[in-house]
Amino acid sequence: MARMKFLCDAERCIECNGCVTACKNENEVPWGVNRRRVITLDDGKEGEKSISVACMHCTDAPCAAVCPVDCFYTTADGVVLHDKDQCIGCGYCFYSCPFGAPQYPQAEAFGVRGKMDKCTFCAGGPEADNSADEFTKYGSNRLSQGKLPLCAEMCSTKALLGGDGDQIADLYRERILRRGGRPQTWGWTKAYGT
Amino acid sequence: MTKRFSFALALGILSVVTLTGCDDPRSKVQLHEPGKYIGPVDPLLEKSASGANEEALKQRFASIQRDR
Repeated sequence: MARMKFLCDAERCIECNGCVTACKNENEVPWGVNRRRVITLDDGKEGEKSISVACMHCTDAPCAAVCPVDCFYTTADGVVLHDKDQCIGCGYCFYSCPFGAPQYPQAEAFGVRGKMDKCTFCAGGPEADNSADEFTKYGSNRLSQGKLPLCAEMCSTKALLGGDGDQIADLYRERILRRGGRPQTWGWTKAYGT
Repeated sequence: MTKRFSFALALGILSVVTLTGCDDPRSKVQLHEPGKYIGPVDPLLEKSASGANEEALKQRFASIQRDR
């Protein structure tokens, strides 16, 4: 059984934000919410690295663990989804998520949170597949059509990979063998600090 | 009818009308059991459990996300 994952190759990411734009456009994400964001470390300095971050669809999702109304569920291939009708907008999932994936549209004044919105791995939500209701609430459901998330498919440098974890691991291993790994990340420097 | 009786009757009717506005809140409470999802079932769950799309997704990955 496939397990769906994302991997962003920091060596290839050029901070073009193509993934951010593709996601926003495909899913008509509410204003003020960025399901996917590109984070850049040491911006403007030599050796800057960028990485595209969204919901990582954790195997042991902390958002699901803390939700007081249990509005989260996980598909057989590991995609973590939620039901906006059950969601009460408490914000606990945002507190627990190490990636800041759950976000809240500014639907009303005085900081009132709307329903939580997050990356769905382009798998929609608990409505009929590819229905108007599903699109309005959760965005497109590409997975049911045999397609992978648009952010990964649109990545200009193929830094962002999204799909079966085994395939991603094989591909990434090939890249490392071809170009060599960075000792700072995976090698001698990381292990021994020299 | 005496004035007192009329007043008492009016008060009684008003009380009954007011009390009918007090709905029993227990009928609208949704109970949640820890760890149990009670929302609607996603049709994608069945598709992903059966692995119907698995081959298509693998081929899609290989054709689009591998280096040219």
